[in-house]
Amino acid sequence: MSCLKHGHSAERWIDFLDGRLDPHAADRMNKDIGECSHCRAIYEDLRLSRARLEEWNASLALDPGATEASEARMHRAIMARIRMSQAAAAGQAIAAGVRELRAILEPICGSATTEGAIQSAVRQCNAASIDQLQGSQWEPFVGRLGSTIDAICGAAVALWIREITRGIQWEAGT
Amino acid sequence: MPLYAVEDTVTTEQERLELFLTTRTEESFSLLCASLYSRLIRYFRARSCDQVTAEDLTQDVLFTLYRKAYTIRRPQLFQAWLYKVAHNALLQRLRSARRRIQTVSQSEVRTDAWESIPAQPAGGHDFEEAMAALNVEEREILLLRFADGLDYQEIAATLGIPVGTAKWRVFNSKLKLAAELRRGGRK
Repeated sequence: MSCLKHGHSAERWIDFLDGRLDPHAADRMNKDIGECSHCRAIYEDLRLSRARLEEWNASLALDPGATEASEARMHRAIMARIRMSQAAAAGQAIAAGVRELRAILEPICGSATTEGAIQSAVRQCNAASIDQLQGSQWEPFVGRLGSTIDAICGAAVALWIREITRGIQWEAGT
Repeated sequence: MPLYAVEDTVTTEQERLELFLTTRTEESFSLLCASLYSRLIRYFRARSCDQVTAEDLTQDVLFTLYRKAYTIRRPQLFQAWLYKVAHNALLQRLRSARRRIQTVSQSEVRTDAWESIPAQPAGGHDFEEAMAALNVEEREILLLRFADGLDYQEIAATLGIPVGTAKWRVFNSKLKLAAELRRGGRK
């Protein structure tokens, strides 16, 4: 809807009502509103809506929003969700890391020795099982495993293990 | 960084956002959340959510903020980013509510009622009716402008439309609202 004679755009009307038109353009709008019944009708409609919306907004502002208790409740719930998602991500990284270690060690050391070395490293990190290993335990786990592999397969293999787990260490630790 | 160490110096929402984007610590996130809780609750309450739903959705939005903060490329348009996430969270909730209702009874429920975000009956009965006569887009843009206080650039970024289009929509929605208000007044 626009006055066909004066053709002020929607953008111009909005800027006029928000007081963002330059003085010359604003004077022209004021003149048209004063002289043209169609422009005046548009102006009055826009003013009516704006007044009622502002009145409504004032009533919305009375809504307390969040109380201290509800903020504390929401905060606890959000932090719990964040920690759960972090634990899940770390768990996935650890599981992938262990799979990768097994794939490398088994052809060199054999399945039984690999499994023994992994379980020994898990116990030395005070974890109940490989599935229970936390992100913060990954680095000590790799260190213990490296020492065991060093003793069984030699320093070269142990060094290789430490090199390839470097990327996994970072992921699991975050 | 302990919360008490920054609480006194980082006061504005923008400063809190920048601190969080830089440090990504729980403390800086908590500080930012503290300035967003009430605003988000009001956002959802203005769109007719009850308090419990508003709190649930606020949690969803803030969880997304923590996880997806790396997608905030222009911190100065953070409000637009936040309202877009809030808008999507609300739509997702309405869609899942609709799906749940459809599985209960398709014949008893008017599913078209869930297509729209209902208006808040705060400005009087005629105002409520006039707002309800607008379509979803018209009502949402008036809510963003007048209830959430976004400027046109922020509205445009929130809705993914040009600034000129945002102004045009506000203009038309206001004219339609006025027509509805006058019609209500004549009844």
